Amino acid sequence: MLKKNLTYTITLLVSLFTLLGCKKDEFTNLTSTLSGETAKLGVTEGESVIANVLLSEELSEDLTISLSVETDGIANFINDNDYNPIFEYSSDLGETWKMAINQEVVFDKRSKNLKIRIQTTEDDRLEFHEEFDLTFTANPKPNMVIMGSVNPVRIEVSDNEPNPNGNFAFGALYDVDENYNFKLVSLYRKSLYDASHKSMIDNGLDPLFISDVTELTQSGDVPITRLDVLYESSGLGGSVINLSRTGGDGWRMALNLFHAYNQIGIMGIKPMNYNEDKSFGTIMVHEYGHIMTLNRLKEINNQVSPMECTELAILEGCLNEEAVLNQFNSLFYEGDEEFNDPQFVSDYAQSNIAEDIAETFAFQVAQDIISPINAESSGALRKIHFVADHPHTKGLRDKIRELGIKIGVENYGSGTSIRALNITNDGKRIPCTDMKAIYDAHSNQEFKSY
Amino acid sequence: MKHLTLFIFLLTQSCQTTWTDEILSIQAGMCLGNCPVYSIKLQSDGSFELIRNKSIEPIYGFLDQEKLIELHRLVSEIDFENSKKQYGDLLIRDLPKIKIIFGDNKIIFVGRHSAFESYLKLIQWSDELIKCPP
Repeated sequence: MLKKNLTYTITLLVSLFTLLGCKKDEFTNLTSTLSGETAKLGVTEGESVIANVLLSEELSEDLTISLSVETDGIANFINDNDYNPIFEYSSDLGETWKMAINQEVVFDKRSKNLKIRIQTTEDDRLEFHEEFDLTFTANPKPNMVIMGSVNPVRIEVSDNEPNPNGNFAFGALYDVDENYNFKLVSLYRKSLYDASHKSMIDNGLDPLFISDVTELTQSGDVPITRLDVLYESSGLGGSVINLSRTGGDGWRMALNLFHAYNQIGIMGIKPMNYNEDKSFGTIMVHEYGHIMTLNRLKEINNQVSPMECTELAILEGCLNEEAVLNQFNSLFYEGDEEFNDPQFVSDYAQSNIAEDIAETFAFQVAQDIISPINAESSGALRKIHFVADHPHTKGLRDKIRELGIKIGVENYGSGTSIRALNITNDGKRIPCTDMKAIYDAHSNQEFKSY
Repeated sequence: MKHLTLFIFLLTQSCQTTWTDEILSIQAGMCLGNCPVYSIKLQSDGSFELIRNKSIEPIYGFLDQEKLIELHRLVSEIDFENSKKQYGDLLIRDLPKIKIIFGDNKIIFVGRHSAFESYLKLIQWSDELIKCPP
């Protein structure tokens, strides 16, 4: 009996010891402080980026953290297909990785470091460098006390496509082949204006614009070989240059699509549908006017030096005798005949003779009706007739107008900001912020600069 | 006080250019479109003479302290002496020409795109100023 009681007592003591001993070793902590390690990370496309999240104390239970990718307000936002939305995470300093489910990762109990890995996509698309914010939201269980937080981490993903002429392009530079396929070859990455600009480049240019520029620049004998697409509020409408170094024509046309989607008036900038106010169409025609009057196919002989040139010599070379610009010069710049004012179709036409004829070209296309000439006709109207009737440009007006491109001079070049007019006609200054007073002071004036 | 702040600012700058008596002139020309067209002459004490668009009468004024300090910082970052006379391609039609004169140095940019960073910041500063001069 005694032996039996002793055995029972010992068994009970051992059990109690085991039980109490185990309880003493069990780790319990449900309080910790969460923090991040950095505010900014960078990675080249195709590589993975790792963000670290830290806890001040190990927890005795798992802590879940929800992740999200935020791109609101980021002009160079990352596209959905430029990263893998299934994130990975590791609680053992990167020894093993688990897949996140529904962008939720788990801070395993008894760990203080959580690594989150995001794989970016290697592709062959030329793009802007992109960014996104990785945000973290802890989801503690009711019995946990989690202090602190993780600030969003801004992650930049650098595009790795070759961009050899990135500083040569004004914006997005496209090669234009003989079949008028547009291929993006260079990107001036510093030129990114806003998110809509990025979407424009990433998702393809507006078909309306592509159609207009394609048809316009094939209406004459000389096409373009490069198209440089800008989107900026600098005021610049466009530009052209002949890049051929072999004596032929290889024209790059730059066009600022900011003017295609924004009405720029004296009261500011107002978004609009593509070329709604027709000014962008007129800019395109002006640029094509340069190509039609400065090309080497018919107009310029660049093999003749300025010293040997017996006709008009300009920066691009020596004009042929029958060139439209050469004869324009003979009649309107060197001729003896004087015409009534205005001599120019616009202020900008007064810059130099090449701008004069390009503006005249644009205005003669834009006019619904060209008034006939009489003895009293102005120099500007005579120039319009000259360009419309010259053998090298004759017929282009009708051809371009039949394309259906919206062209008009009503809002063309009318962008002088009313803020730049904060002075009354008698010289008194008006505060720039008093828009009403400025407007009232100039309400009877014509603001158009063309 | 204004000059003391400026003096302290200048002392703390490591600069390419120290601006004393020179006149800084920035002239921005027309482009196809509506680029800002103006001519502004500035002195190191903040006094300026501005002609906008085609207005005949110049506007005279003084920069406020914040703008003046910013301008001195921008000027200090530019190496006028070793700049080329021209940047950009004159064969590109329709770009505005921007002429910057600082003392005996005259630099022409064909289009704002041709201006490298230190000059571009100065041009952007003046583009902004002319919208609403003090």
